[in-house]
Amino acid sequence: MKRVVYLSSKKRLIYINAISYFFPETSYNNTQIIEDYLKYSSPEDIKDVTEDSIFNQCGIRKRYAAEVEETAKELGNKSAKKFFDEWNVDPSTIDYIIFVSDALDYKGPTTACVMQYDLGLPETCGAIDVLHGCTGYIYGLSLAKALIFSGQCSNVLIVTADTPSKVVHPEDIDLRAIFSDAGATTLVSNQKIDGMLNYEISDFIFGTDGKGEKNLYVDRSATKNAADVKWLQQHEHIPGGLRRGRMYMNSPQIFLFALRKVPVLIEQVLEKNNVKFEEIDYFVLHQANGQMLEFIRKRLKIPEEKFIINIENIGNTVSATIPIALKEMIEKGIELKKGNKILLGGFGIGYSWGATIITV
Amino acid sequence: MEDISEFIKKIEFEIDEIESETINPETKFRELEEWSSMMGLIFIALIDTEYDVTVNGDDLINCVTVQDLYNVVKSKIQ
Repeated sequence: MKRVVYLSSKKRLIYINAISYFFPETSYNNTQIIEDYLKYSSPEDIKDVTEDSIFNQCGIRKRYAAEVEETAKELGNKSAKKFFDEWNVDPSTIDYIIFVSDALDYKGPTTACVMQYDLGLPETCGAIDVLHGCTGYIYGLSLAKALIFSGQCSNVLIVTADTPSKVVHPEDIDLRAIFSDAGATTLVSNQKIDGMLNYEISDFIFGTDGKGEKNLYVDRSATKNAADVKWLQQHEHIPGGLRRGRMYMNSPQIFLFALRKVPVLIEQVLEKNNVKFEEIDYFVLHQANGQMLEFIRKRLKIPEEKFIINIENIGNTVSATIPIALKEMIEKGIELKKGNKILLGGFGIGYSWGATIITV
Repeated sequence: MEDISEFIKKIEFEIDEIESETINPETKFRELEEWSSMMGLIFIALIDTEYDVTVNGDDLINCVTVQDLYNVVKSKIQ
């Protein structure tokens, strides 16, 4: 018997309807991270490092850090509570929560399950964690879209939050300069909602290359090579004690990876959605490093006004950078017109990369 | 490979604050006011994307002038 394939003649439209974000209270400027660095190293090592040289390396002057016991979940919850107030959304309308983070509370239970209770979401709500970093927002959007498209739910809350500051040693000043803690909440729905963003989500592309494992990873953070007493004792003198592991990054390799992959990523997502390069009104890429983004912008000959870089007073907040940048565009009064197209792209730890296009 | 003047133009394009024609083949790039380790990475990335050649950190350490760097790239292309 021949199988009959039914193709839907009408494309089901799915929307990013609202975004809110939250930063922890504590932030550090470049002078402060130099002072902290000197507690663990000799002045000789960084005699050329100044406030401005740090800025010139990464385009960042300020980054945030959660309190010692404040986890990524807490930052995510705070962004979600802010979201419910700011957009006047009733938590009872949420029927699925996706928590995207590289800093989950437990190996079990699923952090998103705990958030269901914290946020007062209905018991009928589905809850799942997605362990992803720089590409995490793209994964969150694609899963939310798939869940809605397949008719499993209607209103998905994506919470992207991370706390990289907890796994950075102050002596790794290049990492300390870049990484920042934050949370963001995004609502993806099966319909437009009056007074909300109503950005239509189109098709996705993904990429993975696990050979990048050791070029950006958090050592001693889980089951492989788990932290032992000796290792922990070595770091007792550091605030927070690196009890959740220590991040290592091979900056030249990561830089080259981004430079090789991002142009391909952009080309592929344009092709998949049948959109021309010139038709993109804004490019919102993962805010990894301001210098690196600027280099990518020049390579691709993207005009400055179309290319969002908002990293200066925020830093690299991992899976939260894209929603924060999108929300800031609105807050800064960038006038988006109906039909404007925004390309979203994430890339980094994994290696992993992914992109989509949203239409205003 | 194109001649060194094109190579220099590409380098100058990547250094925001630099006046054009500041760099010549004899320029010791580490002595440029704008030089930083990030600039070194940008050079490596520029060469990677423009010439499809991977220059590693050691190659860069052995170069003093722009001419040295050009010669390394040229030798790797051939």
